[in-house]
Amino acid sequence: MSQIQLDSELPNERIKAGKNLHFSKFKQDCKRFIITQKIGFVSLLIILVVVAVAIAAPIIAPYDPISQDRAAFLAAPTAEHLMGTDDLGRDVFSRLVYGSQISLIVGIVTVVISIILGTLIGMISGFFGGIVDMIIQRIMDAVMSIPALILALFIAALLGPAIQNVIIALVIIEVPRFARIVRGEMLRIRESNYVEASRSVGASSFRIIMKHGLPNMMAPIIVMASLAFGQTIIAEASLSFLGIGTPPPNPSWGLMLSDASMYMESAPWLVLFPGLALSILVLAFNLFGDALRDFLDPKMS
Amino acid sequence: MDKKLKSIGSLILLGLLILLISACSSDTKNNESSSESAAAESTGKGSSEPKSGGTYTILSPADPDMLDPHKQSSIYTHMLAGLVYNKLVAYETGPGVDYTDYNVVPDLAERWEISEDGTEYKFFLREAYWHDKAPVNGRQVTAEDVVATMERIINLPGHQAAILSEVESIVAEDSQTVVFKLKQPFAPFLNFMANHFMWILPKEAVEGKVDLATDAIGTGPFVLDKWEDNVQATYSKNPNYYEKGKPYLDKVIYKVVPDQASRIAAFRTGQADSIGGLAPEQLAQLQKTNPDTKIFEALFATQEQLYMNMEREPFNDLKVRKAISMAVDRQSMVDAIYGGGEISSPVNPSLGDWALPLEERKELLPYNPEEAKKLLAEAGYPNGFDTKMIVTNGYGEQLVRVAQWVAEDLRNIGINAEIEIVEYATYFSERWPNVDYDMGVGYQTYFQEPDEWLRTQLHTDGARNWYNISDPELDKMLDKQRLILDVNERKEYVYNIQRYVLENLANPLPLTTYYTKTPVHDFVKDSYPHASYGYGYLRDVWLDK
Amino acid sequence: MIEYIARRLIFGIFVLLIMTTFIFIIMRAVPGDVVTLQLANSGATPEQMDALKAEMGLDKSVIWQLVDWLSNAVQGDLGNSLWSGQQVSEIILTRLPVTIQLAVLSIVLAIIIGIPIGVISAVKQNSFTDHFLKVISIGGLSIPNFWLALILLTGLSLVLNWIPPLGYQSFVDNPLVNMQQMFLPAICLAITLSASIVRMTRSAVLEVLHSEFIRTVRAKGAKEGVVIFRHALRNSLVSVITLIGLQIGYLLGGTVVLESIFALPGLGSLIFESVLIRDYPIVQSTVLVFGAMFLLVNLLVDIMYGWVDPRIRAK
Repeated sequence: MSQIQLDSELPNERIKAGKNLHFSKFKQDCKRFIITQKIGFVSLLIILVVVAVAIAAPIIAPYDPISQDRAAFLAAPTAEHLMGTDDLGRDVFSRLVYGSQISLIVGIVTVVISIILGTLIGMISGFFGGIVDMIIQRIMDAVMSIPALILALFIAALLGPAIQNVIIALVIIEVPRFARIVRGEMLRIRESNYVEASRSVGASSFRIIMKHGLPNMMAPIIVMASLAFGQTIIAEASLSFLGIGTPPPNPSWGLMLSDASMYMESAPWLVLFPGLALSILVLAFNLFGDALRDFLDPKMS
Repeated sequence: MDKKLKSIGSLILLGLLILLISACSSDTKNNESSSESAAAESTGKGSSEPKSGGTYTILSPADPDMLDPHKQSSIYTHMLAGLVYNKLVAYETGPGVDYTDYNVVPDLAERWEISEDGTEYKFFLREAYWHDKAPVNGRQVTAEDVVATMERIINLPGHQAAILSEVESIVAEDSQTVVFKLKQPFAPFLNFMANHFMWILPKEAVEGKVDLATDAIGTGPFVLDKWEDNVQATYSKNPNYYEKGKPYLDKVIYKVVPDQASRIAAFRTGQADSIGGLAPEQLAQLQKTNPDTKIFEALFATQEQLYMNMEREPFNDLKVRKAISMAVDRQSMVDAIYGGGEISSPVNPSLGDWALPLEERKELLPYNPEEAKKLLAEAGYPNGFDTKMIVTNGYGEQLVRVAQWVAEDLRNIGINAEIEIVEYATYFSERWPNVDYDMGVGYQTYFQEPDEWLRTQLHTDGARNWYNISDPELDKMLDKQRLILDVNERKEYVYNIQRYVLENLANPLPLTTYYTKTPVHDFVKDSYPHASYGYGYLRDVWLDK
Repeated sequence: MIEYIARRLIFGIFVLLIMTTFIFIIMRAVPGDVVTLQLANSGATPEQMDALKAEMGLDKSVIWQLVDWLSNAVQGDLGNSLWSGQQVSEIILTRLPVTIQLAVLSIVLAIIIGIPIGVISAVKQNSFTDHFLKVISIGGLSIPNFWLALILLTGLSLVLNWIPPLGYQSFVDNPLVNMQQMFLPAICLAITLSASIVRMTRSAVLEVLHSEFIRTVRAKGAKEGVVIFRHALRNSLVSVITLIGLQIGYLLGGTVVLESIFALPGLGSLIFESVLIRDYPIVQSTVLVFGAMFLLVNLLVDIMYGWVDPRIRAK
């Protein structure tokens, strides 16, 4: 009796208080993360730095990444060209900076689409169960049984070198992984007591999923996303290296590496910098995902 | 926090280490002069007597999909075919013969007679024997073999049949004489007979008793021992080759090594003799570690072209096409990307003086971006326009670089050409032949006759007119040059055609023909490569070691 | 147990069927067909192209082609290469051992690298060494394997003037040459693989170190080192086996790039070349083989796991 009264008395205040509670919990969690997962935190910083670089590319990069300085082919690093130039006279540093955009965009778009599609599929599969579940699961299995790069190569090679084709290929690979997580969670919910109890009170299935399912799925999805980021970035680089990924003259790091392999002896800096950039970015994502995993569920490690 | 720093530190250390190593061993900027000193001719003729023996190793980025010389136009198939097969007539190779001299000389045919009216060619076969492999077992070559081969060439689907399109009949007059009757006089006929498709097979092969996709039985200087798809092919000396005493080499091995760095390393360590063309920086590097290396330089057998779809705006306007031509700095491009070359001509300079003289080419294909912009404005595009440029990556990196260079030059006159990389299969089966593009950059096939460079590409009915070109005036001229039997007269006429093409057609636009530079070991003697497809020239090669 | 295996096998076949259909349909739906590709460089007429298509069996509807191919495949006939005419089964059989050898060598090297590091990490848990090794091994995972390959190749060539011998030779033909050719690509793959092995080993050893069992052993005064060694190792080996099942996909995918760089004639380079020239029979069969390998390895891993874990055995 009194509770209902309280609810109607100061509804806004109550809601705000609730929100504040959530936010301060989040802040607390963040603080805890920074303290316990130092490596993860540093990795996050690195990622943010790269994102900042990608956004501020037009400001940071001294040259247009496509324009050719025809007076300086394969120039070694100098004051004028901090990381040297490639065989068409393009400034390596500028290309590296703009290349971060490609890696990040491909990563973000792929992971976001994969999460959305994966969640949808996982939900349908887990919620309906039965034949629907079985068919969807077999298809997911079939896709996952083909080694990732081979499937990606297959799709990208058939569709032709273009960024959107790379994304399509990579999405196809990542979706089953997310679908599996979501489906697992769906199944768990269905079996759990929570559902029984909520149902008996009259709550709709949808509401149950939203309220109980989603929060539990967040953690594994976020961890998977972080690792998927790293995989996607390397996959795009591999495809571009093979010549079936991002097409020239885009400054994809993988593409820069494949161009550079012709000049390994005469201009080794061409090979060094894009490879380092790739390694550092992927390392950061992997370490961050790792730290997240340790943080969110120590049992999972 | 410091753990992360430590790992970053070690990464940087690794990077510095690599830089250090590379700095110690490469100092290319100071050594450009050494590549200039390289001789622009084939390796010196040994003054001593040729020595028999030795193995010659060729490294290639790819190998043929199949060995059948009539079903494949791939260069790899035909290079290897040159080791094991002969043609009736061939292009001369040897000391004093340039890479791009196209002199027709006897091969399997010892001599020939041409009738007065030019419609009948009688070839007299020399005494030659097939390789000693079943089911042919080293028997003598007969006219029947030639006739069977020709019929196969005509009956198989594909371009090679067009080579014999003017032939009315082929008859074996006796066991050593073959007579070709033409529908009308055809000047390019002998050149066509020396075409790389014209390898002569034993009739057993034509009848299907030899698996031509994976095996080869011919009359050539080398016998195929074994072909391992995508690994290597091995050949041994043919003891019954019709040129007595040759070949000198015992074995030829052809290995597939897709990675160029590996090929270079193999050459450097003496494990390979032929590795294809290299970029100038790579050659300079090589000469530092192997100062004895000679460089063989030759004009490449084809050109890069910038082609446009005549049925799409604005490329239907001659002014636009000419403006585009003037925007490209051809000479700088070929120097930067290939390390040297010439502005090209509608007939590729690799055909020697069938191409327009260099001075004239420079005049007719100038670099003048200001003029280009003016022309564009006159045509109604003062601010340029947007378009798409296709290019395939199936031919390697340099062509893609050419596309980027050209796109950059076009940007300077206001044309934004977005590069679309088309992978090889789609490029060859859809985009180019179906004229499904706005503009494109590509290599042309190694045509070896002016007729192919001109009529096949530019005639309304041309088999390779993949540009929607149709000019009745030009058609008449193209048909006419086929009938001129006198070489000098024909040459003059062909010059006129080329001038007409550059002035009034300007499509496809010849860009450049580059000098391909290949490293050659000092001890390899009498190596006289030729632009025509085939490793047959290896019959003269001997190793001084 | 038998029932478990049987069920898995049946599901596996079902999955392979779906995979094949998927690949089949996509290959034909995409532009660039093999006939036009073969003849495009020539001036073939449409009639000649149709004739060639009929000869290759490409004129029937896609469903029929699929049925044809499947019924042949079941009998062991995987068709012929559309370019060289060779039997696909022959091509695959010749190239399969190369890829398998590369994969196995990589796994072995990864174990040799990974387990000691994992053990050290566990023993020195949460110390500086532990964190440092973790970063290093994840670093190995993050480095693109083709970059590593390029650097190693050039580094060795410049510094030691050595390159892997050219012209692939199988282990049977010439073990010395073969090992030199296989070593570099295997190391590149192994470095990435070892990262996960390090983590697995570390957890497994930690589990043992914190267990009741160890306390008993310590109380008894037995040699701790030996015990850790035996039990932790057994524990971690089981995890490693599971890991291989998970990572085999990565391994097989990695063979594509590395076989291309090091000129090894395996399945990885085969599929890459064949997709580019639209040699359908080869691509289909190779993808199938890859998928089958993946499923088989996972099945074996599951069996081994089930065999080790008595709870599953009892089912």
